[in-house]
Amino acid sequence: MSLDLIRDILIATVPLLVIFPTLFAFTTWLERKALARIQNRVGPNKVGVPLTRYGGRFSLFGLGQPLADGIKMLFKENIVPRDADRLFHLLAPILALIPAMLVLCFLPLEFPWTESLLPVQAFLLDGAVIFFFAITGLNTLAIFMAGWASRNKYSLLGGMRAIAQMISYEIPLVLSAVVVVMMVGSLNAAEIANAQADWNWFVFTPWGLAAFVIFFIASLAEINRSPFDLPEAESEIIAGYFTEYSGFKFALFFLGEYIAMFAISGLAVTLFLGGGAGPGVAALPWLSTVWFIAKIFALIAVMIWLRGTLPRLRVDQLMGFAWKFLLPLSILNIIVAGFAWHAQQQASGILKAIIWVACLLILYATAKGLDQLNRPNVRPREYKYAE
Amino acid sequence: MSSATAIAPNYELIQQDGLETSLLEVSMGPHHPSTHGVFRMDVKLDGETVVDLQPVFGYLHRNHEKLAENMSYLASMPFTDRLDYFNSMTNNWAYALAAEKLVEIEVPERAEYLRVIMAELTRLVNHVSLVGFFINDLGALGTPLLYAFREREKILDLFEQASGARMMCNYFRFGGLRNDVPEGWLDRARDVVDRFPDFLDEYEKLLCENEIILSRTQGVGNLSRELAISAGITGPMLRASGVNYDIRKVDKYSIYDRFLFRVPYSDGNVGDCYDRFMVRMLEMRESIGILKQALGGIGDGPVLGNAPKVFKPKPAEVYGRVEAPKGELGFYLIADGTPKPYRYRVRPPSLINLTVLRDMCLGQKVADAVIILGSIDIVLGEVDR
Amino acid sequence: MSEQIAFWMLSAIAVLGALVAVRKRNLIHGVFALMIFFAALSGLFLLLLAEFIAAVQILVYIGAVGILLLFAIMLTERVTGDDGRRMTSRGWFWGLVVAAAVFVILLLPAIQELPPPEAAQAIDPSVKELGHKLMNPYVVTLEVLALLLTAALIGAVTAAQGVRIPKEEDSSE
Repeated sequence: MSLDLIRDILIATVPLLVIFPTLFAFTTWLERKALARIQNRVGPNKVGVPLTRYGGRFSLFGLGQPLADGIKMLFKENIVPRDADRLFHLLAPILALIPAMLVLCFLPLEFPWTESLLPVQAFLLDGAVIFFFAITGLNTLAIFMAGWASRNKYSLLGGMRAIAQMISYEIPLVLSAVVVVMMVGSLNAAEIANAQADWNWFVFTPWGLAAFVIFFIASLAEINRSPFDLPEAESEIIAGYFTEYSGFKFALFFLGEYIAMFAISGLAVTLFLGGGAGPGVAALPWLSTVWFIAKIFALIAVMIWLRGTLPRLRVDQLMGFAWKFLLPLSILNIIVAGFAWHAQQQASGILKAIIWVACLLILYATAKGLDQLNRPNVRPREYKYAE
Repeated sequence: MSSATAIAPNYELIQQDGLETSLLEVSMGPHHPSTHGVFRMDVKLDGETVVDLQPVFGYLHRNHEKLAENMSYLASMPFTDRLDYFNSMTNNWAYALAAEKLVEIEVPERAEYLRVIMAELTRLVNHVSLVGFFINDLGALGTPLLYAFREREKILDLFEQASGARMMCNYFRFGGLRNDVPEGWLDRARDVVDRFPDFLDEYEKLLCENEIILSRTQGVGNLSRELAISAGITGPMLRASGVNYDIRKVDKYSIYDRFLFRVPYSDGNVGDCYDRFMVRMLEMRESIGILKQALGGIGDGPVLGNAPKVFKPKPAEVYGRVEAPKGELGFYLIADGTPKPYRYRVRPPSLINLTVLRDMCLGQKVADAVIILGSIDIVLGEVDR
Repeated sequence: MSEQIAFWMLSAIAVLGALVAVRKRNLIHGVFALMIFFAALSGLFLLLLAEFIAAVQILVYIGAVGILLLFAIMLTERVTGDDGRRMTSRGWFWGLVVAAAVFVILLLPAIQELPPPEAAQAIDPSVKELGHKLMNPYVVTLEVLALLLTAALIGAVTAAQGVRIPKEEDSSE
């Protein structure tokens, strides 16, 4: 193996291993701060530079908080239940982190310093998108492993919930991505991103919009974010599968969860939001990295907002939503997208607009119809008063 | 599940198919984020469905009743604060009401007004934080709870200015109140009461028609009118099951007959968690109405009647009760002529409302059991005493 | 050179995983060892530049079959296998003989008649090509397989439901 190859691999992968954990630290701060503002609180605002004499003097809006959290996590005791499966208990958080980190390299993220080198980025893989889904699915195993190895009933319930939920939501997730793959005719992430240059983002087409909404909802379930955070539902099953985790193992789970959040948002950006496309990219190519990460953060901001405002679904409602609403809608979306795309190839101008409006109407009507069919019979009620 | 009181239909079907499944026994509590204290539910689960539930309590037992039988009447007043520690004012009132029946003390009018004001403020505190906790149990990340606590703080400030304590007020005395409210307190109270409806509007807009809240709470934890009556359920929970029963209207104790207010209750078709949630939301509006009238009608005068220096009632049995925010709170006292009660018994609404927990939870999902418990509105200090 | 190292490492992992999967008493450990085997196999596919197959290997075998196995195991008792029962059945000798026979009859000819490396170079393993192949010459095979799988799925659902005992009040969710 040549030294050049090793160097290139390092240059291509190390940024991923440095940038995303750093962003993770920043995101925990951002989430705490944003949730605090939603809840009329201030959030972390004291920690400056931990372990120095400037710890409390320059608080910098509490930006040192993630660092302090990390240090705290590192020094906490590692508690393993007596009856736990010690090996699996140890492996689970590691296995949770690996797939999340691994899929990052399928994102068409180009760093300015890699341009002059050999193109070793894994996103040049022909089937990057399908690899992405295959490897994200491994996360389920880690969660099950943690739930089973802890020998705790809450953990087990959380693990079972996680498996059922992630398998169910993977289907609409993949099916909504299929639309984009059909449009581009490639599973290559970089090609998909390039196909959306010049504001031809897929989210601006009717089927792309529908697919994006389905994808985003399903991805919330896939990474256990509110309102689909049933595997770790605090008010029901304590902390779900990581009830019995403490210290650094817990931190690894936490890290894995956030990295998965970046990864799936990154895929959403690649598939629907034009990848690194944005104003000024033509003049300054490195801006595309900035745009890519900015778009990821836009999606994450929505996730934080949802977490601060929505209650949680029940397990049967969650399943029903995936199988009775998202799945039929995403299948219909594929069909609509196929026909409409072929029809608009020949058409131009006014006819194209008509096709788009028709697609929007069909999708909207189906969504409404499915909603009416599946909606539990709930409505606000009237109450009587006694004088 | 079609009916909540029948044993989960799925469970029997599984057994009939010849598939042997074992139930998962989970001991939820006493250390659990949403059992509202040290309460335990021994739950048997078939998958996620509750097939059996056994409430276990007593972890917070403090011997309240026996303690009170071994000290003078007045000395147990501060202990009543610790029953339902959210609503010390109404606890005080119920006890004072019972003791006043023993010796026939006249309560001055200003004291009666202040008692009503304190009780209704307490009701606001209780309901607003209950709704917050309830939505918290539904899985919202504490946002409604923190909104509720912001309002609760304002009322607790009022309590602190009047009695010196935020939660353990110990403010009532036999024949009136311990002290008059400080100067300017009534204006501050009017200010708080005038602003409260704005908060309620916001709260209702955010919560009452939220799709997830509707579908999580409607049809969950149904309590039929008949069961509610025969189990002795009281308070908002009874009214949510469609029974128009409010002790403020029935007994007309104190000066409640002077105020115009309405009692919201449901049509009694379901009596589910949503009804219990909504009845409390609506009750808050009525409490504000009472508060406005009371704050408008209050006059000057003493706040403590001519209570005897040594409280030594003749032998008698009395029962004093009020409409506490959680239901009927009653104190049953037997006097034997000594300065100590011969028997001192509390009728805690939390405990009695809790008795139907199993009936409401069977056949529901485990996540529902949590919100059903939340909708009952218990405080373990009162359940265990 | 690096491909050689990768091949031997992956093969060793695959064989070890398969052995552990067979020998472990603890069923869950066994399943996870099996998944390691699947993962190593997918790595071998990657070495052969068959990345689509590799992805499908992970997606189907680890993501679906493995999880199905876990689900099935969760429904059984004695997961940890701590009761001192025998691991091998009494007919282990004949089992070995059958395995050897299968190896000799099926695999030896295949190994001996490996296509020359030039032929392997000519194959285009890209996803697009695979897609076209599936849609053009193999479309009937694909459809028949799909039909078979659907039939199996429906059959499984019917079998799992069993004989329905008629009930007055059918619970509806």
